[in-house]
Amino acid sequence: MSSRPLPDAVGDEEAASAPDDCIELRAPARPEMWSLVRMVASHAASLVNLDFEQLSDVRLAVDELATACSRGALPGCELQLVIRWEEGTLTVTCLASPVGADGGHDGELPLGFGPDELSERIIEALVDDYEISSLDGSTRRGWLRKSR
Amino acid sequence: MDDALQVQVEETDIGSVLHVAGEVDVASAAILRDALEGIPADSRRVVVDLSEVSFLDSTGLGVLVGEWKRSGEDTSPRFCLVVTRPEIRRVLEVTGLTSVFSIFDSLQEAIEP
Repeated sequence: MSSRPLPDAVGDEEAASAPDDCIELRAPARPEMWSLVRMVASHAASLVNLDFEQLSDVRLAVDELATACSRGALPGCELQLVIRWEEGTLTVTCLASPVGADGGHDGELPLGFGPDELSERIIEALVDDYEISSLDGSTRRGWLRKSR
Repeated sequence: MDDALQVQVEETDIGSVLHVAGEVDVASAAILRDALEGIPADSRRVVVDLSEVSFLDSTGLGVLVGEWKRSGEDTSPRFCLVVTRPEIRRVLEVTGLTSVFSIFDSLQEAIEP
């Protein structure tokens, strides 16, 4: 996990100003929305001229970020996604609320790691930096960064 | 392109072949899981053909790992995957699962006696 500072978070005043090189998406945190999340992420990745493999990486990493942030989503949970691009670098921040305090783990997978660990293993391998953290008992935030 | 997940089960001389097409994600993985759970436990082989899968996330991987566990957790080809797309192979590689599953480059190779 990265020790670099968290980029401007979803919900900050700066994010609310919606700069030119930015896409914001708000959607119910439900699985059927993830294809939309992937489509938006793929489009943004194409805008910074990532190659095909990098674009696929971003598509999967953002899907996993959204999944990890919204695990244990409670009724009415909303996913907020902000994608920024600048000079060949894509930064994605994700916020999900409300989520259960325990993250709603589904138990351990047969190989000995939990669902969150599998998600994080994928994200870690595919992007340059990332972080997933709890803001409070009911809000989870994550971000990732990928450069050309 | 229609990315809705489709799973067709074919019973062959060598066992069960699952032809999977579309995106396997948190919304659709249950379809794959249900198809795998419907295969008789005494089926000689289970071949999951992922050639037409355009997306596979950790939830889908969890389903495959669960079936691998159910099939006896060994690297013998009783349970095996057919992977042709680089983006699917990549997710298996970054999770270390290429050393767990028996993976073939084509369906023909997987079903050869």
